[in-house]
Amino acid sequence: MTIYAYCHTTPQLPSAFDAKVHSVFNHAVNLSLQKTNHITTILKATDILYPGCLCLKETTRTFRDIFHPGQLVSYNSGKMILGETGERIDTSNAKLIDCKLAHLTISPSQYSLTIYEMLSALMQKHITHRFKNDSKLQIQLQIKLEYGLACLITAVIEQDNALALNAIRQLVALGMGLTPSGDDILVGFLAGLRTNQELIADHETFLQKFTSDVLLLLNHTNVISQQYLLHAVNGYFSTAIIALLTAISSGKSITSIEECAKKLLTIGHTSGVDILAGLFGALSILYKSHIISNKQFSIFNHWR
Amino acid sequence: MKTLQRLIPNLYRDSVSLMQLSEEIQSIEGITQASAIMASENNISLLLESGLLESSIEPHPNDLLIVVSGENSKLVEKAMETAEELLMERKDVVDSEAIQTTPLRSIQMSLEKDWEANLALISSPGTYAAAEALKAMSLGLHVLMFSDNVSYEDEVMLKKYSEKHDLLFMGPDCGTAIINGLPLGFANVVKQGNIGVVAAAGTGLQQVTSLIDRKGGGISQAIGTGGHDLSAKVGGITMRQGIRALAADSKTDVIVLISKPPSPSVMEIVLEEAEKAGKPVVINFIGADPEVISGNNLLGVPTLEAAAAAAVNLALGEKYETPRHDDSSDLKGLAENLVAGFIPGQAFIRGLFSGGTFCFEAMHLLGKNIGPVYSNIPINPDWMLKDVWNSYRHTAIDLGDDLFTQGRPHPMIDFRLRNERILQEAADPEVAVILLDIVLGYGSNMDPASEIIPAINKAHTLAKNSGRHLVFIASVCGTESDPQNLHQQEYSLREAGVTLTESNAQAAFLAADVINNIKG
Repeated sequence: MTIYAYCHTTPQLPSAFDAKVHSVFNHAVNLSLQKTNHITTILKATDILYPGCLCLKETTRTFRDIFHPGQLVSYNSGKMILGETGERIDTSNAKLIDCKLAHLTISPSQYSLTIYEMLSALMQKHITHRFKNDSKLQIQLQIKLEYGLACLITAVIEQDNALALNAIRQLVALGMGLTPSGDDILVGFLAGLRTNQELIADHETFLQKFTSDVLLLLNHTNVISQQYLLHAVNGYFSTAIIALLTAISSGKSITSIEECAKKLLTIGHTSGVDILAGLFGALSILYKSHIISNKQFSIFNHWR
Repeated sequence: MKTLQRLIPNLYRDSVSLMQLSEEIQSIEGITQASAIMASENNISLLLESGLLESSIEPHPNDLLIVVSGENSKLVEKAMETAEELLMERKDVVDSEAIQTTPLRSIQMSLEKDWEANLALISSPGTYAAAEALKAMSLGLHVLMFSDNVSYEDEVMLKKYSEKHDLLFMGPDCGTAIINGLPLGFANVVKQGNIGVVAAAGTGLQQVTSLIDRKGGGISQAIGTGGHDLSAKVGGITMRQGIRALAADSKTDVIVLISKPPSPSVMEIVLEEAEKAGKPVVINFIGADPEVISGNNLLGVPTLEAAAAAAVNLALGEKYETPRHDDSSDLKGLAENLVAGFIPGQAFIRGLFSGGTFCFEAMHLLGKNIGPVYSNIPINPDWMLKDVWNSYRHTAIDLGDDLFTQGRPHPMIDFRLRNERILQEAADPEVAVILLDIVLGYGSNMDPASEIIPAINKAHTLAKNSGRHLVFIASVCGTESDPQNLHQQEYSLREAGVTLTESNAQAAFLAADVINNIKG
């Protein structure tokens, strides 16, 4: 039986590789490429695409029916063959979707206070309860995430690479699930940071040091989350993040921007709001004078 | 106090599964804290700082760490075993199915396995749902389509196909039905009987079938049509088919039709079909004037509750007369009592609904009695809320609207959003009444009272601290046979100071009476 791939995203898969099935979920499967140990993800057709993934049209079966952990997979010239079952995945006609974030400039006039307030309000409305009750663990997690993000913002405003490294260290792999909240915040922050060129003096050098610090701490988190961080470091993000930043940069209406933000919020259980928090934090640097004069920064309320 | 930790190598679960597991273990008696989290350096620090881990361990970011803390070693060990079983159980079920049996990969394969099946429930993404439905019908199966986002063109095509081949097509976006006594989707456990229901409103169907059960009647079949069926584009194909099916069914003596008001042309052909049924047909076009319905065997009623009451009376061969709300001295007396304790300025109702039909019905009833009701699904376009996250004067919110459910389960399952909104409304000094619906049955939260009561208690405290008094009015949609234990749910809600009424309509009437009493 042959399954046809619907699309694939940049960065593209190598033209040939052997891999092992790493983990299987109903709508996603992670492959561990044998030479590099990089993870690549196969997804069921979805309206949000992620960098370096392959998207299938298969609809009748869950991925647990097709893949199992440890299964060998071989890929060559657009054809993937699954070990044991001999099933094939044909990627030769799959559409290529670019997940590279273009060089966008967002100025305070594009990122107006109205948009700032709208995103802030949206996050506050999507309160993320990591646990049902107010356990000590939850409170502690909230404090750490808030503090880590505050440190990231301060590090950029102060152009302080040492503080940035410390903030990344505090956030990486912090929280539950496959992509912990701290990692999601970092992904969002990296996306936002790539658009702030005009306001950060010597932006390129700072960004380079910042991304190399993320790389330095990559192995502190699990291999699945590592892959998303690695893509973010290289400028690749999910289509939901790209759409939101593009909408802001191109001066789209506030309604369109809000729609994009809401779409981003649909990612995972807590990932969407965490990514948006990181992205919002990075963009908020555009209002650094406002932030400095208002010590109570509204972004933090969204976890309460 | 005893704490136990266990590391499971290379185990990956998403955050929802891990949170559910943590909550499940934490709810065991004698267990004070539990957590299942990836064993990264930062998470270990987090566990240490929150007192869940007693001493540091080596980080393993790709391994899952379970930590359980409780009253004694025995309890903690047992809870840890349960946690591991729950994690492995889920995995084993999947693996064993994949390895030992051939997975069912198509409707045809399912039919080969069970040739007696005659209904397919389709819940795939909307883009693919129409093709799957067509496949199912071409194999001779009736269809219930839970999926939404199916185009009008596809819906009409599927419904015409089903009509031509004498198959029932329920949907798209059909969340509830009861077929041959089997609840499908969100549905209540009701007694079987001689009343058949066709509804284009999900919680409307749940309210009517539950109330029929509670009033002593029973259901032969309850058919959902999907919310677009009575639009001009679709033409009520499924509702007319449902009427014909129930008319031909020897076990059905009375038919009930439920819908928001159809387009006039569709109403005409639906009523024509109903007249031809040759059995009593009770009709509630929610919010529409029941007087517009005429015909020898047709009875228009003003509320979902009245539809249930009329159906039960007619099924017993008795006459039915719609009671006037004004006659209900019980509600009037209750409203007078509830007013005591309000301070000047408290004047508005905030309805927070998990069922769209409940919200719609309440808005109509409130609108007639107290004036404009603002909403995210207003009955008058002028009453659209400018900001759906913030209420204005009298407001009723359908929290099941797509706007609120992105990235989170439906509010009948997940109470977080409604609980937050309850506190938001309680902080507003203009609010006098908070109006709620609680929906039981399959698919809904298994213990809604325990989910919502903490928020109600906090809301009462919040109001009390500001010298105010808040009134909570609610109705519970469910039956004694529902898995949630109706009596327990109602008892807990009453204990939390919630005034319960028999139906959503009564809750809305009572809320309106309270407001009118404030006005004096």
